[in-house]
Amino acid sequence: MVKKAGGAPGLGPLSRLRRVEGVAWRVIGEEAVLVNVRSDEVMHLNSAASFLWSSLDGRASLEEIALSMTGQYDVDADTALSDSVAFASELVEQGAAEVVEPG
Amino acid sequence: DDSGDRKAYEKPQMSVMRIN
Repeated sequence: MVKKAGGAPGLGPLSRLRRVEGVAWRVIGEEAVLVNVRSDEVMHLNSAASFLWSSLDGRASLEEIALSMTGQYDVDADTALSDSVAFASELVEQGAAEVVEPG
Repeated sequence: DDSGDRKAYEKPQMSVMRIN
């Protein structure tokens, strides 16, 4: 079951998200450009945001993604996790990602 | 310095532009 984008869910370390199908995207260098054809918006993501976005496959939890982020970036696990949860909430609010409910 | 080959970290951020 998928919680549709548009709300502001209480995301946590175990939350799993996936990219919404209506969003076209491309990684350019280390950054990403997203085009949401439903909301007529173009989004530019910096390097860490692009890493997180690319990892939203609906299977990995935010905690797992944050942990892999610590291997790529000079950041500690706690900071990576809190930043990842905050940014994931932004993506859901923008309608670019949706929460995959367990079960 | 134990950062090894890891990249400099910047908090994940996005900028949003509305399509005309």
